[in-house]
Amino acid sequence: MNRGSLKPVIFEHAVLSIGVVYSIFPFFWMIITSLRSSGDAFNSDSLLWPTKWDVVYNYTQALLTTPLPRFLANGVFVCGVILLLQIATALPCAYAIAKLSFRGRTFLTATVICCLAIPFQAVALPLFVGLAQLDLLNSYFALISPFAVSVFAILMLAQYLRGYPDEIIEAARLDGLSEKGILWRLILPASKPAIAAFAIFSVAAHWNDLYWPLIVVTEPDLAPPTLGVLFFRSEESGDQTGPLMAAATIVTLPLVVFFLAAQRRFVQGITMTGVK
Amino acid sequence: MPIVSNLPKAALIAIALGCTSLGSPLSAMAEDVTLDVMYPWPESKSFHEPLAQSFMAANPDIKIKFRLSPPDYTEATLAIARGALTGDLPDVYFSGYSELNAMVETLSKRKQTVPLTPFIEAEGSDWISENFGQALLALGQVDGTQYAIPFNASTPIVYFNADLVKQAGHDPDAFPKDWDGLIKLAQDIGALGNGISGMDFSVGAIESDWDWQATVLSLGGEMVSADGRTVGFDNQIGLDAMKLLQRIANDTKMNVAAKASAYQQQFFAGKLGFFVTSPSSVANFTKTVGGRFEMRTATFPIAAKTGGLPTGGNAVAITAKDQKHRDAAWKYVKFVTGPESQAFVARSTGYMPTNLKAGDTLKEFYAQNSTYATAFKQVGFARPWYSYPRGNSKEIWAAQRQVFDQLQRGSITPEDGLKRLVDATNSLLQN
Amino acid sequence: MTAISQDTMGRYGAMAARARSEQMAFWCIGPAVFLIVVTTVVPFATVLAFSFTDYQLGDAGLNWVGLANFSKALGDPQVRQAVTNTFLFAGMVVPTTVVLALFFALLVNSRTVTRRFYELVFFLPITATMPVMSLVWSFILHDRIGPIARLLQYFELPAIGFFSDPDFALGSIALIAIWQHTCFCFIIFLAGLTTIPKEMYEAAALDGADRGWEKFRRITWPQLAPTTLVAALLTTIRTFQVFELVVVLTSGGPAGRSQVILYKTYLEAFSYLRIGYGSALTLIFVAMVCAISLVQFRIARRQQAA
Repeated sequence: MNRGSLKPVIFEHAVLSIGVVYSIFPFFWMIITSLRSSGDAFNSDSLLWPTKWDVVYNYTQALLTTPLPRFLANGVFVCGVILLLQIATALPCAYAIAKLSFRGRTFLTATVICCLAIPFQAVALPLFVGLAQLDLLNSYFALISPFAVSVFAILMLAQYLRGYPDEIIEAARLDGLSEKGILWRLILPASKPAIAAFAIFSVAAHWNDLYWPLIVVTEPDLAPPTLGVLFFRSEESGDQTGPLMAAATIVTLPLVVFFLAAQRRFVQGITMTGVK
Repeated sequence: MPIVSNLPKAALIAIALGCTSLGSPLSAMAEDVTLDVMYPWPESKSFHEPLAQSFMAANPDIKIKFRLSPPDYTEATLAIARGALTGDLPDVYFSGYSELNAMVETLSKRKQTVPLTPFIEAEGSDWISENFGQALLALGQVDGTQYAIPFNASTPIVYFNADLVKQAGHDPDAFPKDWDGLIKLAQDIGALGNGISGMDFSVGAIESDWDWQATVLSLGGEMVSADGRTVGFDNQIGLDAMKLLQRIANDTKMNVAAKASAYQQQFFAGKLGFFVTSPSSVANFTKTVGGRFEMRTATFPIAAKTGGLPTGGNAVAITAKDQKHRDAAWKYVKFVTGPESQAFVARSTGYMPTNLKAGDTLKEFYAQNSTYATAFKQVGFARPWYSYPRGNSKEIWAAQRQVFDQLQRGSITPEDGLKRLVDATNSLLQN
Repeated sequence: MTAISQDTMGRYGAMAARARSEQMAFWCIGPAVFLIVVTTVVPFATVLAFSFTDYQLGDAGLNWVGLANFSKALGDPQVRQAVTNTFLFAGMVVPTTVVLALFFALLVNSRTVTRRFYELVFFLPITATMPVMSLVWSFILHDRIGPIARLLQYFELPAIGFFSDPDFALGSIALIAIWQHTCFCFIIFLAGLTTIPKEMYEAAALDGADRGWEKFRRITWPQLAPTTLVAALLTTIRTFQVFELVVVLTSGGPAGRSQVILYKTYLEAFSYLRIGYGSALTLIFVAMVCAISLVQFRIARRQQAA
């Protein structure tokens, strides 16, 4: 970086802002539309700023005519448990793949990659039948269990841990730290940036998942956040654009908050890995 | 782990089920019945909930419990197929007319179907004829057996922007009733410029062959031959239909859309003269348009004297396992298809009522709300929405819509288009 | 344990360390392996079994048909079109996504004050609720009234039928997929960049390599290459699995020009209820993606070893 000279910095900001527009414009339109009357949504003469506001109606419709708050609570619980389970199962496995030598390591890695290639839709039906036979449909268990392990997390954490210096692990072993201790006191804290990154992927994916919940759940009390949006979406009788976008904004907001929390871990991680 | 807490819950349910099967006549509550009801389209909550409320007020011994609503008719059929697989069906189910075949087929494999014949007979000989017309009633039949009673019904109507019609120098009160008039009007609206289009009738843009069936039936044609083995539009009427669709696109410089939402959005933006869709949207569209322009509706042009229109919507079926639930379910079916309920649904959506007596109740409402009345004016033209056997309709449509897309873009002639359409449909009809 | 007793070559200490490593590995991978088997391997094995049958969803019985589903798939022109489209789509999306994400991650990584703002902005698309966002995009790319169309009108350029023109439909969906996946890659790159020790840059600066390009070529790129391959691998898999966007935006049209393999599979299995044929298509899909992924991963490994 050329410190002191301003030109390249301004240039970089200019380039970045092109990306900013591409990234943010759909959200901008979502929020703007949630603030104005449905009729104004497609009014091509006021694309970027509302001429008719309808904030209160849109948001009260979204919050009060649907069980959206309940759906959000379901989302927090389900995504939280899924994330904890995924980290608990993936981190040791990733550590083993990255740092331990054992028979079948190559085979395990190849299997993990192949499992990543299997689309969830393909295994959904057998999983559904299995859960039905155990009489576990319509439960949080059904919503959570298929995602208790994430091959994506294993791959991502293993890749990350490969860069972790072997010397530190060796030194810890010589100091008499048990393998469990290494995992708990060295690997876990060192993996925080990767875990934070993975957490964002995992939570965003399951927060917005509509496919699986609609298969295993027929009980409205267990419905996921995104379903709140569908109450205003209909090819059959026309979308109610204003409340629809209001519901979408409400559903997106917790994810943004979650990102802000994870982002701090991101920054912490940076200072901790300057060990090499 | 918190998830484990669900295991005892499952165990509790198992115990509870065990107890009820032993039977405890002591409790008066045992007389109460809870009906599991499933309807597609989550947004339909707006009229299903109030109906259930008033039903429960009138029948305190029956509780209505709604299942999570599948996002559309197809997903609902899948939910039923899964329910059949695991023996976890709802008690009452609202099936799309075009999906009714598939439902009966799936359920009959495990002998889970519930024909309504005994219930109807128990109501006495006049009950059916007093409440339902034969044409509509046929929508709930599969192979001559009544499996469901029509609940929502709609035939395609025209939605137009009266302001644009005026600007183009036409009279909204004398909206054209034939295609020649509509095409002329669309040309004049399209000539206004400023990104305004005249009309959109992209037959291949919607997820079903509803618009195509409307075109064929309104010209007096049939979807299949009398023996049901080949298509019914491999004739002059079919060719006329193809020519008409291409002429509409060519003469009005129509944007051939890939999805219906494209022209709906353009209409809401005030940049489209008119288009065709279900009257069930009247209430929502009115809200969406707000006061920015005057939205009105008109009947679909029917060219032939014997012409008709395919009826969309859904019918309510009973899928309960035991007699007690079936009896309660029948009460609910009768209630939601009754005159009061039907009038209520018609007022809050735009659907036409399926119950004959509801028409009387709605007379005044229709007189005051002409946008809602259009659908009712077409009741006499309502014909079944033909659905191909063995649940093939969706696959046949996937093949057909590509032909319509090319036809309306002008990349094939109506003659070639018809030949491809007939070949593709017949080969899928016979395999 | 038997393997170790046969291992007469190694010294006792090495053997003990090895045994300890094996034991630790067993406990580390045990839960994950068990869950992978239960939630993925076993269900997928049933898919494998169904692919040799004519099972239809809802049927009470089924027939063994051998390889009939596979030979049908190979001769199905729709499948061929879907496969071609999927590869075309991946060819548009994967390179663009990886390059854009790397580019923006590098730029954002060198920011200090505005870093968190840019991170949030570039992260946003991952929060997208797709049923809503596809509606938003369908408006943004509307060929008459959308903002882009208005822009084209303003500059008096011809209108583009983003979703309705057969030549543009797949490209338009790719544009949205790039939007959807770039944030994903961006986060991976950003996490990767944090693992590069600052000392390396300081050391390089002493050698005079502190200018943007030189710094990138000598330090960042070699350090980031493995991350890049992982990002490419994950993006490839996610891109191949595209289908929700297609469902909402074009339903595979116009004229099948945006039909992709997973949507075709979904239609067969869940719209036409032909689980047998759908399973065969799934199998072909997974075999294809697996092969590509393993090749990419081998390359990544070799790079890392070098």
